[in-house]
Amino acid sequence: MSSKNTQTSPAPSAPDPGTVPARSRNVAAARRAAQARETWKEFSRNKAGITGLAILLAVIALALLAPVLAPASTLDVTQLTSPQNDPPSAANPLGTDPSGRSVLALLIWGARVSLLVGFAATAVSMVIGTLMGMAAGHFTGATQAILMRVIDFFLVVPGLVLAIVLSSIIGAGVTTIVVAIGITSWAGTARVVRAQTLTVESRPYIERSWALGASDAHIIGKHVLPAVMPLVLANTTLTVGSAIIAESTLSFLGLGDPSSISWGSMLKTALDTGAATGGFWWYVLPPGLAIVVVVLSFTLVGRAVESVINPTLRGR
Amino acid sequence: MQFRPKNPADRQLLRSSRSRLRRTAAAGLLCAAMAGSLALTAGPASAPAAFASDQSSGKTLKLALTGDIDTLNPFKAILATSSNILALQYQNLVAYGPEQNEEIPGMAESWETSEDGTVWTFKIPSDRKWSDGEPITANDAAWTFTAIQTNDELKQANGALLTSVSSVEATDDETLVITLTAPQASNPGTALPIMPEHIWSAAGDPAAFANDKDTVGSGPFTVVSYDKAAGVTMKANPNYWQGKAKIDGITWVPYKNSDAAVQALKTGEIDIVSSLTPVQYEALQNQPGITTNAGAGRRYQAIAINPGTTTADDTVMGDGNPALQDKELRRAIAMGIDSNTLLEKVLQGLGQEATGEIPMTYPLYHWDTKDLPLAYDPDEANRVLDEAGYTMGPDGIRLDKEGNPLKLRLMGRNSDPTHQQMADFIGPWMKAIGIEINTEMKAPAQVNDDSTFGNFDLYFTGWGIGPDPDYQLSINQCSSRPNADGTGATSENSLCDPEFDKLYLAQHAELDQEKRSELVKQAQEVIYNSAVNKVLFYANSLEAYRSDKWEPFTTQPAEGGIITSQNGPWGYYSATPVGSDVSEAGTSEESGSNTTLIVSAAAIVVLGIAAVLFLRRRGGNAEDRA
Repeated sequence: MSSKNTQTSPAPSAPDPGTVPARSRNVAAARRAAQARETWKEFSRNKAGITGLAILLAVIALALLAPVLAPASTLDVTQLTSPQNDPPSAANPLGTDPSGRSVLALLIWGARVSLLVGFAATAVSMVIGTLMGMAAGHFTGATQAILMRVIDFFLVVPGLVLAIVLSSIIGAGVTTIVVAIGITSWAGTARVVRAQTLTVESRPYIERSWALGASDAHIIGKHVLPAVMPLVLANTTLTVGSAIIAESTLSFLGLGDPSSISWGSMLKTALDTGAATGGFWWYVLPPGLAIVVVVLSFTLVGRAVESVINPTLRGR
Repeated sequence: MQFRPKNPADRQLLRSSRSRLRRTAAAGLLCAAMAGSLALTAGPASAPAAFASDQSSGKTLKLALTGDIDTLNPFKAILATSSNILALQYQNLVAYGPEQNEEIPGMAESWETSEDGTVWTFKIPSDRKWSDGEPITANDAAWTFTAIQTNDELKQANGALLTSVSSVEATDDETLVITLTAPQASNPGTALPIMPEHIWSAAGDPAAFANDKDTVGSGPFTVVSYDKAAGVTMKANPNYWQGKAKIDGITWVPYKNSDAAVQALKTGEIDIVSSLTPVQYEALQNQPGITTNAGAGRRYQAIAINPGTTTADDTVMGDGNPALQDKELRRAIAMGIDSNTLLEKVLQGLGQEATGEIPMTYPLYHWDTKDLPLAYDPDEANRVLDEAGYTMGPDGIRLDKEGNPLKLRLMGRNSDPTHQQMADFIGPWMKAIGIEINTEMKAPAQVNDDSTFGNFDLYFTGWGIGPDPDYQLSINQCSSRPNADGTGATSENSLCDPEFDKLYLAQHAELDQEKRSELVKQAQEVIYNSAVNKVLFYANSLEAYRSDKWEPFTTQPAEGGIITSQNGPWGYYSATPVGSDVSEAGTSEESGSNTTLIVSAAAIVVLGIAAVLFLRRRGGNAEDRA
């Protein structure tokens, strides 16, 4: 139609059977790279998203550098000399906890567990959700009916209660929390992915694949999966936030790993030891605010990614 | 039914160390309650602010009800709170006095023992009356004893204490004769509260009787009503033989957690709070109008070291590390734990250094020594381990006799913050003597099960001790070990030592107080040296009350004792309002410090935001559905 088209489309002079797939791969890679650049450009226009991303990177860096910033020995209660429940001072910028440990050091180490659980639980949730969603969208008949009922079941089960039950069955610990959050939070993702799968599969190129004799695995792996991935990505960033909250909640309820420090377990200790009565705000506010800031950042990033993928959301 | 699982949660909470520690069901209740209360702690869990229109004018003592009430039927009540309430309502034949837990007249005025210690005769004065005016007779006592002996359903609370009673007989209205199967030093009259026969025999099935409305009792207060939401209302008994209390009654107001109760004390909604954390205790110390009391506790806190749990017929049970069957290893572990530092850092010094299992508050039986063979000494512990052949592995962890690294589990309850705090210390200390510790904090019910079946290496335990040490010692006998399914007898920590059994039986039948005290101390020493139970400290019982409204309460013992959770009703019975005209409208101070409010508000805001985000996310999912 336009003159551009005729200029840019190079006519292959000598079609070589061996080079065609390679070239198509290059083309695909180039196309994806371009798309990624485009996405990033779009994303970087979203100020809130960029802010959230910056905060997240900072928190992740802090968590990774924890052993350098606050050597593990600063958390060994038998070697501490600081007074217990000490208000913020030059030595302990955020005061100390009921065992005399620096709250700042606890906060930095707590970021590790909170982020680790957040990411790991989200990974579990995303894998289950994506597989179930694609399967529920792709297959028909009885398979679909069964899968949908399973999804519906997990959708209506109160996640926190199920997580508590699971934790008490499997036993408290980080792995438990990851599993508990993971298998209680995937249903929403599955519904979203299924919807996208249905949309994608009604497109002509899938029909063409069918006509060419493609298998279920080929359709799902080569066509549906790449098409739902952006959605999954957006969903992931949002889910990490709620996973971190769920981790804090479970730790706060005493279902976390007692010997590892997380923001939720800090809040639990604060409550149990009567920090509210003692007026030890420095032990309550930092973990609470840390949770809010990190979850907020994940939400900002997630929303930004969502609006990039789904232009109809822009400007809302 | 006579199943008696070991029950550490109950041990922590129960008023009496004796028989009331038995049921896993109780632990289940506790567990549910804890989950419930924790789930609700996020909000401002205090009761409706009634203090502004406080109408009681100091004539009613208001107490925080933070624990659970299982039932107010005294045959079945085993939880601490219920037992505390019922101790105000019913008397035993013989009471434990406020001075130093000495035996004093309760329902009976006097008693005598036959030469051989098997026949006990109690005299009940003819002028005593129940709260409804009916006379109290020996028949009431005989009925109560017989009811428990003949009906298994009534054995839940106190049944185990009657195992050595062969017959109980009221020879006339004023005389009760209890015949025992064998001589015993401890007074059977202290064993259980006496019920009014005319009420209970008319109540149909005593086991099904709720006993929670307009009740009849003989103690200083009786229950008028009980409701889960409204709490318990008690009124003073005009017929109490020591005289009617100086107040009209007692109200137990339910609170979701101890912080809420502390806030209520600050605002004047309630008059006494107990079971404070050290932080709460210190925060209340400088509050005007509030007096704190750190009473000498009745319980010991310990770390049990699994010596290889066995059943009564010597079958090994549980998955305890077999290396711990070596006494030298257990002794080294005991030497590697600095209990005084734990007392100082975790309890902020609010307790006493421990020796044996009987706390200092019972000087008759407390093993008073400064020369403890297993005091903290890591160098000595290392030397003992080297000598016993536990060679150091390449990673600083010793190897046991089979060549496996010494890795032990330390179990605690997730409902008690001090367990984790102590575990944080014990890990590095054990590392210093070449032992690796993995901490496991579990739900109270799980800890009960695991400890009963021996599924632990080390765990935090503790028992409240009654004035008579017989029960506590009895559960260390070989014969006290449980059956393979956890039923049968309760064992403190699977000790089986013929030397101990001999000492136990000797003190049980020793009628001379001085000789018995000596035997009890020797028995404690045997437990100590076997290193199955490293007693850490005797924690103080931390309490606070409104001293602007109430005169000082009677403590038990009189010197440095406790107000709440006494062996008897003395603390609450002594309640005396300050002055004759107590007007308190507007006298309660600033409701709490500002920081407290800010902290609470901030916590609520934080959780609120979290909840909103969480809900929004879920809402988002719902919208996203195609």
